[in-house]
Amino acid sequence: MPSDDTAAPPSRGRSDPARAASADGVALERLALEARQDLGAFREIVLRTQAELVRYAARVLGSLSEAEDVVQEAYVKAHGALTRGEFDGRSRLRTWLYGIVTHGAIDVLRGGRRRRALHQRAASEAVTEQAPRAEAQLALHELRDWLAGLPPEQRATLVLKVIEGHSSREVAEILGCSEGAVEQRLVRARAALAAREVQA
Amino acid sequence: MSRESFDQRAARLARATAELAPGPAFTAAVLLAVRGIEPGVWTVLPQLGRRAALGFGLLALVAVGCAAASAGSVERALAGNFNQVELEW
Repeated sequence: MPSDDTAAPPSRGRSDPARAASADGVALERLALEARQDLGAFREIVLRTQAELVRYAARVLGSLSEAEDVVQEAYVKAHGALTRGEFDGRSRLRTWLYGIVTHGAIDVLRGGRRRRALHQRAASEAVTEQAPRAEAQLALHELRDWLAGLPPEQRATLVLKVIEGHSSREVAEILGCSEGAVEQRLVRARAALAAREVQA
Repeated sequence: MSRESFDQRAARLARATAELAPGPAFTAAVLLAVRGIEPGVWTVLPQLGRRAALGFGLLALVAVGCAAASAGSVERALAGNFNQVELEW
């Protein structure tokens, strides 16, 4: 995945990022097995994946603080599933985590939770958020306005494929659908955005 | 000036949001939330095994014995003092 560079241990050589990403993936799968009984292993998983997951959720939701909430809930769900032995290893751990985060973000976008959370946070966001640089904050708001109005599944698909740079196969794995469905959602999302541009 | 294309806009927003990261307390908050749903002591105890359970049992017996012995000695001490008071009187 494209964001493996952030999760890979710093000791990895920069000359072969693919090998480093692959080794990191193997290490994550091993940690997933250990995390069934060892909270330390789960902590290591969190440390290796939190940056990319929060960034992804923030891009889908348009808010860093909401993204933190969604990712935290996703980790709680993931830990429960790992300790109960429900992660069967058919998908990679990172893909599986992306899937849980995506479902959480879609739920927030669909439900009233988002509106309620926005009301509660509107006043305090500037203080409580991790105060990213002004440029990043502006870009996040621009992204939110750009994707506003798209159905949540199309929004997540667009972010995963176009903004995050995942392959169609990876997006399909994360969303639990076919590659054809991914392409269809992308076409529809792009058409909807283009139509809005024309109207504007 | 030419208008920014879809792909150009997406690439620009991807670059501009690339540095977004969770706050410094995020990991701790996650682990705290995870610990909140960890199995309680009654679920964990049976997993400790027979030896550990035996050890806990012996420890509990010793503690009860010590408590009983100390209670007895207090009684005896009180009784002794009482007799002494009677004799003096």
